[in-house]
Amino acid sequence: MPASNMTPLAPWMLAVVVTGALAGANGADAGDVGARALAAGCRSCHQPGESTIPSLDGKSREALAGKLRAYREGSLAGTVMPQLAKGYTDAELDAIARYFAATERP
Amino acid sequence: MNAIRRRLLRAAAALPTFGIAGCASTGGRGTARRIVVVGGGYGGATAARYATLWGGDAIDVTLIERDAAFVSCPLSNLVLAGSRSITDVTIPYASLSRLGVAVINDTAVAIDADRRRVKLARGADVGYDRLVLSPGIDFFFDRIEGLHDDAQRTLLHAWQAGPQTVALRRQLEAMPDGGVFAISIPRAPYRCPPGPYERACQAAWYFQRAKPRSKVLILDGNEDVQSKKALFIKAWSDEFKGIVEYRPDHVLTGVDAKTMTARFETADDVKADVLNVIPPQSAGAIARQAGVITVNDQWCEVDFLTFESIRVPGIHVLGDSIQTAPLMPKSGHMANQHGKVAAAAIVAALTDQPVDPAPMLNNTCYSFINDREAVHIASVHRYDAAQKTFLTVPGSGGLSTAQSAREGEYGFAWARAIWKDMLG
Repeated sequence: MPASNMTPLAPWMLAVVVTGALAGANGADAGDVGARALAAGCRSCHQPGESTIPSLDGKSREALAGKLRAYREGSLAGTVMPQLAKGYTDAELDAIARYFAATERP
Repeated sequence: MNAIRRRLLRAAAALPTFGIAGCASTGGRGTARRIVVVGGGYGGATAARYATLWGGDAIDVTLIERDAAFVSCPLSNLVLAGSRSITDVTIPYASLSRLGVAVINDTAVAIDADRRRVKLARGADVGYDRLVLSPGIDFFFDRIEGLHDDAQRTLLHAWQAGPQTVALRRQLEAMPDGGVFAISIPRAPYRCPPGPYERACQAAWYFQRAKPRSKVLILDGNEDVQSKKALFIKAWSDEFKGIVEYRPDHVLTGVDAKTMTARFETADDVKADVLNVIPPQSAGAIARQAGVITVNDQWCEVDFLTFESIRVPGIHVLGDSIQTAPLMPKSGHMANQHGKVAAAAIVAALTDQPVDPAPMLNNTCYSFINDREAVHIASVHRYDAAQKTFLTVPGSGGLSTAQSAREGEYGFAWARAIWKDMLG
């Protein structure tokens, strides 16, 4: 099929891809707006498909919660994260982990 | 018809149409409530994107932005140094449009808060249920004697990324080896507290390579370095020893663009080859027009649960324009965080849901010392219901221990991530 025949479809195909990614990016657990708001705070740096600052979408709840608590307690070293994690309660860190675990890995 | 297609069709319908008298009529497209965002920077683009994601079919979002593409202030000092180009910090609004945000490339010139309408420079007029103003900053040029329109063409601020960034880069390239590049910093608060000091590092990095006899002179209107002090001073005394000189208590009162001379309240005059004047600042002009500036003729006080103006109902103000909470910086990251709290609160209000009573904000700000090493400052801010403001959480936040390439990689990754977060 010539490429030109593809173009009318392309924007819609792209839109479908984009919505799919966003549904994953913003979580299935839309009822929990408190956790959604906390997780949105993390998304300034943590985006799907990135690795230098890792994506959190679809991570194991236990692993993520454990890591966040370790940053908070000072048993896990880092640059920014130990400083940020100390600003949240354990319950808030757990809510963040729960929220990201419920999103789809992109 | 799927949800995204429905939203895109609605977004197309939301674009202003011109009526017979040059007025536009909008609205009347079902029951969706209307959010209009003025300003597509870190605050406004984020608010537009999140209001669309969280509002679903209940909310229509329109973004009014005067520029065709977003140009990032963060990383723009690296464009001055030449290690990055202006295209590296320029991102189109196309993804926001694809998401269903009606992006209008025009300038908002007036707000009618009673009728809830925004008038645009090209004559159209857009109605809203809630208005978000994220207009960034404007400058008090007239507070510096001699900084008239002609002088502003030579004495650049480059404190809004874009053409000024490119022009200042050209001035640095044209400066002779052995020349002096002077940066004048206004009294705080101003946009991006560490930005001028990062700029000094970036200019020094460029001079070391291209014109090593040149100097960078920091003329600070404040009594001391405003952010990341120990880290910057270490860079100036080690890596950029003999190139960068820091002078506090230099409140600029006048300039002479012909002789490239700066005058100060108390210090001696300074002559430079390139004089970068960052003037005192206020909320963007449309905030003044809308009547939401409430502090010192400069900034806009807001209800921190919703970012709604304390003065004008239905208008929410974000980013550098607001009167900040204690220890809250005027930063792109912070504006992005404002955008999410405001989007959640507005969507909640328009869909009869409760507003989050305990919002939190965080800030992470990287400053580049050279082309690959950076330092950071971070903070966490919790809403305090008793004081009705955000307060930093005791024991949280902090600074880098030292500049590093690892933090530089994080700095570039931060930029990629936050641009995705705000623009899609």
